[in-house]
Formats: sequence, structure tokens, C-alpha cells
Amino acid sequence: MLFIAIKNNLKLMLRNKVLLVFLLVAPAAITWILSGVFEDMMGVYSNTDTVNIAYEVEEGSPYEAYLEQLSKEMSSDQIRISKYNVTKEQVEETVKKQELTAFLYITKDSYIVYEYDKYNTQAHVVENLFTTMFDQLHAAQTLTMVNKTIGYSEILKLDLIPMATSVNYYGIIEIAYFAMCGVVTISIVIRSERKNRITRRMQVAKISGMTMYLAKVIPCSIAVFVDMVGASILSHLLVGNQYGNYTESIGILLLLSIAASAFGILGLYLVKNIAVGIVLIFSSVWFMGFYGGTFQNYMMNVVPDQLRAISPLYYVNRTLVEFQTMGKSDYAVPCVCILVGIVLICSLGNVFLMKREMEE
Amino acid sequence: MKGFFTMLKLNGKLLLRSKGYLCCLILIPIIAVIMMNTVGNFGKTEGTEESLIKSWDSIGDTSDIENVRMSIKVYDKSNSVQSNYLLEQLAKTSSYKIYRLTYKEGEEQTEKEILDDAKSVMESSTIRAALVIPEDFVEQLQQEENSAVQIIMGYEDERVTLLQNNVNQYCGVLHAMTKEADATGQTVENILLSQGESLEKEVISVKQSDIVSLNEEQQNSRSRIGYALCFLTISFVFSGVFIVNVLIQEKDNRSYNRMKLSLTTSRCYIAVKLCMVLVTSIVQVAIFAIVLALTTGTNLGIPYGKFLLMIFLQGILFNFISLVLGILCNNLMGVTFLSFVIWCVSTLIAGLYFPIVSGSVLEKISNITPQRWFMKATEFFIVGEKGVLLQYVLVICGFFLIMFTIGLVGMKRTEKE
Repeated sequence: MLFIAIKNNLKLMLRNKVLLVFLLVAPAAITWILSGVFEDMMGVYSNTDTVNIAYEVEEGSPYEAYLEQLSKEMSSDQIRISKYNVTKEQVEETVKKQELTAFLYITKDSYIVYEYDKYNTQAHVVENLFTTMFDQLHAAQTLTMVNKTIGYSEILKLDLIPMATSVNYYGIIEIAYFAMCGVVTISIVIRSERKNRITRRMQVAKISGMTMYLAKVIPCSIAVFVDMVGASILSHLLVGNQYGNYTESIGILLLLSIAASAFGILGLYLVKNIAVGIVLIFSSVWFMGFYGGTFQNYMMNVVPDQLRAISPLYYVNRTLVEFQTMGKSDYAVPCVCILVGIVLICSLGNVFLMKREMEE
Repeated sequence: MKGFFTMLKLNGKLLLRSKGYLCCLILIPIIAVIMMNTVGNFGKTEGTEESLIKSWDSIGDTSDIENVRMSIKVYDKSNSVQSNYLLEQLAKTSSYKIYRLTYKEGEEQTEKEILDDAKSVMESSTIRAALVIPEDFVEQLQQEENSAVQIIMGYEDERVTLLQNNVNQYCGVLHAMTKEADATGQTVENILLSQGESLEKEVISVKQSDIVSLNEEQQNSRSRIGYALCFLTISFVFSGVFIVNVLIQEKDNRSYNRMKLSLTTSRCYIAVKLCMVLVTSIVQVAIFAIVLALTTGTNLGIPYGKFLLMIFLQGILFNFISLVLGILCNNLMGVTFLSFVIWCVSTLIAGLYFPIVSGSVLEKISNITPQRWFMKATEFFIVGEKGVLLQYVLVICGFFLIMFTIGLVGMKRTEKE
């Protein structure tokens, strides 16, 4: 009986292709958006491109000869410095046309740095070079004993928790988030059951609440899991994110699918109206995600620690991400415990609710 | 308009009976105000925005989404003229955002505590380096060959090398000043004053496209408004779903057919539905407006009345979108799900949670969401541009027209069936 029910429910779920395709595409799409948005924030600056800088000195400036000398010294594979004969008004246009990172325009008593916002970070670094250069010249003119060779600082390197790149981070985390939302797939089954009075018929067949529950949670978990694996592959192809510790990660994803199904079914059975139930589930998942790092990195999130600690998604996210960055995670055990806890509690609640429904 | 008011009354009664609708009508706008006060309130901006060095205690959030300037936390144990000079010069290079921690009398932090603190700070924000300026910084400047300032580095950011060069350079200048002070008998302060500024600097940003740049405080109020709109959108979209619920039930129970028999035109029927949309949005915006005025006040950086008008337009639009979806789908589950998707996707790509980088593909895509136009108008309002409201209203009218056409086509189709 159980197998027939599972098979039938699976069939029903597969009939709604829009939903399945949505669950497949949405995580990949959102990964693409968020990883692009947070790329700079989660990345470290390292310059690999050639920086194009140009300068122009107004006639009569004392720096004219100096800059010619300097540009020859500073030019390298990384930096290309050239002189443009343009007026002040033409500079902006030149910057855009020639794709210059920055343009240094020197008048008699001031200097203007034009920064192209396309190369924002680079432009600021170049501005730093200009500023310090003029400061140095100024110091050399006014002070007698500037000694450049003294090292006044030492660098101390700290060992930090490795940071995931934005692509890997969001690639992993959106999968976990949509797994939690995946329960909508089973709502079709529940809806048709209620509409066609299937529960009544099952009463006649003397089916226990447990069987009824298993007949829902198993196909739902399978669907969510398969969908999420598909979505992972899709987002890997789209943005190239990766997992770490494949066996463990897949294990957690499977457990998450079961927990999400149990949790979702509970939500749908607690509220009689399916639409309201779905809204309820989605909003609670949204809050879990909001506090658990689905939208903003969980490390940099400004939400209070206590709220973060009660979001189950936080543990899942952190475990999966740390598997990727470090290969191990201290959060793995709590994560598994919490997921198993959710499965047990929600299952108990579900069996109870279904039993009650059967007895009605 | 036969039966218009009867239908309106009945519809209202039916809606008010549903708890979900009441929740969308009253509760979620209030939550939106709460979110606006808590989540968006990141930075307790202290002092003027122009101050180059920010006090560490004045900030709540150091995650810098743009990360254009490297954020540095400075443990300033020296708190002297010299350390101040060093930090000011660093800030003037405009490559760094400097957050300075000063110590009160008797307050101390051991090296280990500093390292632990720096570790946790760097792991949880975009701060990529920390500077430790020792207590005897001034004395150390007198000597040659030493390493007075400690630079703590976390993730391998190339700008740390730049920082080290800068620190060395300005410490070198300070060293020279100290020597000169010793030789001439002046104080370092006097020499600093007499030094004057180097060549005057001006920075002009060349923009790829016409975008508005906001300062930190304005960004803050922008993001607060964004979060508020995000929640309001939920309430708009789902109140629309409840209106659709009545429509679908009327179809299922054949009330629509009976109504037709009573010689009520379908035009009147549509007018009732539109009226419900209008009333719902008015109530939602009113509740939001009152609660916001009572808690935060009306000072949002943009004119309150225009702000409410803009939100009101969003309200009608999103209620209307749900209604159109209902006509197209004709089943509640589908509408709920689609509305949720619309809410999720539109708030995300409209950039309500984060500012959108100009010139990116995302920016182009985001223009299809009404909220993006709302945020654009808000940004323009914040910086005080004129003629924004008209553009916004026109764009929203455009959205209406599209939805209306889709709705009409959908109705024609269902009527044929």
C-alpha cells in the first residue's frame, strides 16, 4: 500500500512541471545575481590587469620635467603611463574613450585626479600613488632630513577562517534555501487529496497515520533532493561554484531535504488553507534565511547572534560552506543534530495531525 | 451601475472575515515600520560625514559592499598629535576607510586581546587590516631603524603592501619633523603647522553612466526605505491574493453567473474589484504612514507626502498584479505561488537589499521591476533633484497599462472558455 501511495504521489508531483523547473532554475539564477553583487565585498583586492594612466602638465608647472622622468621609471608590465596633450575640458571624454583608470592633470598650483568609476578600486590605488608622491615631494622641499629607508612598520599575518568566494558561497547557500522552500511540490498532492476527498477513501482502506505520512514525506524528499542536485549542477555550469567534501555535503543535503519536507508538511497540516500554509512556510523560511546568511554573508550579517543561533539554516549554511573552504567544520555535528531533531519533531506532529484527520 | 454598492459591501465583508487579509492590511505594514527602524539602522553616524577618521564606537556595521577603499581598524594607544597626523595623511590618500579606536584613561588592551579582537573583526566584516600604534610611538619616532607601527593583516589583500609603504613614508616624515624639532628647539606641533599643505588636490569621478552618488547617511536612509518597501510589497501582493480568492470563489460558486442574470454588467463587476484594490492600498498606506509618523517621524530625507504617494502607487500596482494573475491562473494555489515568486524575484533584482552596481547586466534587468523605479526616484529625491515624481508616475502608468492589457486578454480568453 505504501509503495503504491508513494508512486502515485510522485506521479502527481511530476505532473506539475512548472514548479519543478522553477525549483531547478531559481537557485541558479539567484546565485548568479547575488554572487555578482557581493563579489567585491567577499573578494580581496589583487590587481592582475594592466593599469592605464595618463597625465598632462599645464605649461609653466614645475613638475613637467619631473613627471617625464617618473613615468619612465614607473612604467612596467602592470602600469602603463602615457602623456596626452588635451585641455582640461577634454579629459573626461578621453578617460572614457581610452578606458583609462585615472588621469592626472597638473596645473600650476594644484593637481586634479580624474578617476574612472569603472575601475573604482584601482583608481583609488592610483590616487594613493599620486597623493603620496606629491606629499613626498613636498616633504623633501620643506624638511631637511627625510629618510626613506627606515622601516617603521612590521606586518603580522593572522590565521583567519578562510573566506569563501562569493560564487561558491551563494552557490551553496541558495541550494539550501530553496531546499527548504521545496515543500511546495507536495502541496499539490495535499490539495488534490482534500479536493477529491481521498482521506475519506483512505479511512475505508484502514491506512494508519504513519503510512499516510510516509507516503508524503518520502516522495517529497526525493523530489526536493533530486531537484536540488539538478540545481547544483545547473548553477555549477552557470557560475562555476563548487562544493567541498562531496559525500558529507550530499549527506547533509539529503538530510536537509527530509527535514524541509517534514517541516513543510507540518506547516500545511497545521493550517487548513493551503495557500495560507504556503505563505506561512515561505515566510518562516525567509526569516530563517535572513538570519542564517542566505542574502547577506552570515559572517558579516549585522543581525544579533541569538537570532542567528536559532536559525537552522545558519548551521546548514555554515557547515556546507566550511566544508568547501576548510574541508571540515565544527558546525557539522550541531547541524546534523538540529536537522534530525526537526525531522523527529515534525514527523511526530505530522503523524498526530494525520491520525486526527483520519479519525474525523 | 446596478448593484455596485451591494457587491462592494459584500466583497468587503468577505475580505474582512479572512484573517490573512487583515494581517496583510494591518500587521505587515506595521512590521515594515519596525523593520525600517531596526534593520536599516546600521550606522549611528556620528559627527560630520566629512571627517576622514571615524570613531570605532560610532559604527555598527563595517561590511562595505563596494569595498573600494580598504577598511582599517586602528588601535591608537598613543593618541598623540603624531598619530593623528599619520592617520589623517593615510585617510587623505582616499584608499582607506579608517576606524579609530582610542582608549580612555586607565583602559588597556594587551597584545593578545588586540590580536583576538582583530581576528574576530576581520572575519566578520570587510576590514582587511589593523594598525596598532604603540603608547611610546612619539619616542620611537626619534630613533632610526625600528618598527613602531604594527600592521595586522588578515586576508591577502594587495593593498596591505600599499598601506605599509604609506605608513613608512609618513612615519619617515614624522621622524624628520622630530629631528628638526630637536635641532631647532621647536615643538613638533609648530613644525606641523608651519609645514602647510602640499600641492592642492582635486578629485573628479568620471562616471560611466548617469547615476546618483549618495553619501553614507543618504545610503542609510535609502537602505531603510528599501527594507520597508520590501515588506510593504509582501502585504500588497498578498492582499491582492485575498481579493483574488473572493473572485475565484465567486466563479466556483457560480455567483458570477447569478450576478450576470441580475443584469449587472461585467464592467460593474470589474469596477468593484478595482475599487477593492484601491481601498485596500489606501488603508495599507494609511496604516504605514500613521505608524511611521508616530515612531520614526516624517523626516526621511524626502518629502513625506510624495513618499506616501509613491508607495501608494506601488500598492495599487502590486494589488492589481495579483488580481491579473488571478484572472490568468484561475486557481488560488497558482496565484499564491506566482505572487510569492514575483515578490521574491522583484525585491531581489530591484536592489532593495543592496545597492546595484551601475552598468552591470543586473541593472538593466532590474529596470523591469516597479520597485527599481521607486528606489531610483527615492535616490533622486534624497539628493534633491526635480521632476522625478512625474517620471515615476509615468513609468508606473506604463506598468499599469501592460498589466491591464494582459488582464483584458486573459479575461477574453476565460470568457470564451
